Amino acid sequence: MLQISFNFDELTKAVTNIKVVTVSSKLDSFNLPLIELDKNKLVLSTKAIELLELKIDDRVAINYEIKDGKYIPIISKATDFIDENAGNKLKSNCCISFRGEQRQFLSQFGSCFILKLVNNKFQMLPYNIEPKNNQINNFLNFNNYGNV
Amino acid sequence: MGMFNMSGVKDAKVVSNSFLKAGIHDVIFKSIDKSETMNAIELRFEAVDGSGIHIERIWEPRSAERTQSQFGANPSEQEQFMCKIKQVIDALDPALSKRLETDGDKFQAPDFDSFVKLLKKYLDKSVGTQTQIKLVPTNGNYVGFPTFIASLTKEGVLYMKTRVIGEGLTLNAKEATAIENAKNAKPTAMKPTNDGELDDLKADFNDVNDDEDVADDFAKMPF
Repeated sequence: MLQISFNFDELTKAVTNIKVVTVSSKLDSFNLPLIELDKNKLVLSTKAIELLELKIDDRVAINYEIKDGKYIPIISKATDFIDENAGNKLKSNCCISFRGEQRQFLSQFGSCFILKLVNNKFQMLPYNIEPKNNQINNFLNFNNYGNV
Repeated sequence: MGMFNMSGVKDAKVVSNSFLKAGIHDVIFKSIDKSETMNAIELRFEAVDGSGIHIERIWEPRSAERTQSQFGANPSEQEQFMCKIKQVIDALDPALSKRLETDGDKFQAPDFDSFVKLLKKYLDKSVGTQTQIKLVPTNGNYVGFPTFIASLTKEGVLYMKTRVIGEGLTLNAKEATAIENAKNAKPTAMKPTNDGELDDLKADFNDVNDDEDVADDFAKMPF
């Protein structure tokens, strides 16, 4: 993902100091479509952004499917969930603001997720990027997902 | 047809009379009618697995005026009503839904009763259609479609913010939280008693429950 910055003089209408920097997500070292639930935001790996076909300023939302009485988080562009104003915008640093009720509900499922395409929807399955962190393994047992 | 013929009951099945709980359910559309006692449309659904029924009441709108809140303008009751009806038509009669996109103005009635009749004329053909419905906790212990499904953009354009009927339904975090909260709801805990407030009463009860006293009472009995 590219971050472009420049100075703009309103009087002369001149654009100077253009910088184009490639911004990489902190998850990119895994080369997987990962999403991390941070304190107030979601961090997406470049691969996840590619898979979801997102552009900067696209609104992204997370909804939940119910299968056999269990919730499965689904991520997509807000327009796919009918409400084009749902969720939050993807920023240039590969993050999406994610707080309040929506963060609290998702946090029950874990803090790191991998995308899996099922029936044309991207499910967020818990993924353990730190072997010592057993929070996700507890979730797997709890929600009976099996191994990802 | 002879009296002892199974063909008449081949599709009959046992359906629980209990009402469906909050969540997303696979259902079969059974009927549409105007409520006999209220100004509402009643849509009746039965769970595909026979686990229960749901009767959704869509109330007659009282106003077509948009309202204002501290966050801006809100859709009118009439707009909320029509959005819900549109979703019902989209899910149960996609052919009619397509026609409405081009000839929507023709689908109108002078009053609520006539509108229900018009709707019934079309949707009666869709009885037996399988679909999904989204039920969230409403007032008291009841569940139903989310109440406010329409919203307005900053420019005042009407849009729908959630789907309540149709295939592939999902819940947003707010709806999922409401469902979980209702599922885990417990009676309000009694206020703990203050220290010593009921000690006198407790002492009286202790006297009554004392084994020796009870034995004495039996001894005093004449038989």
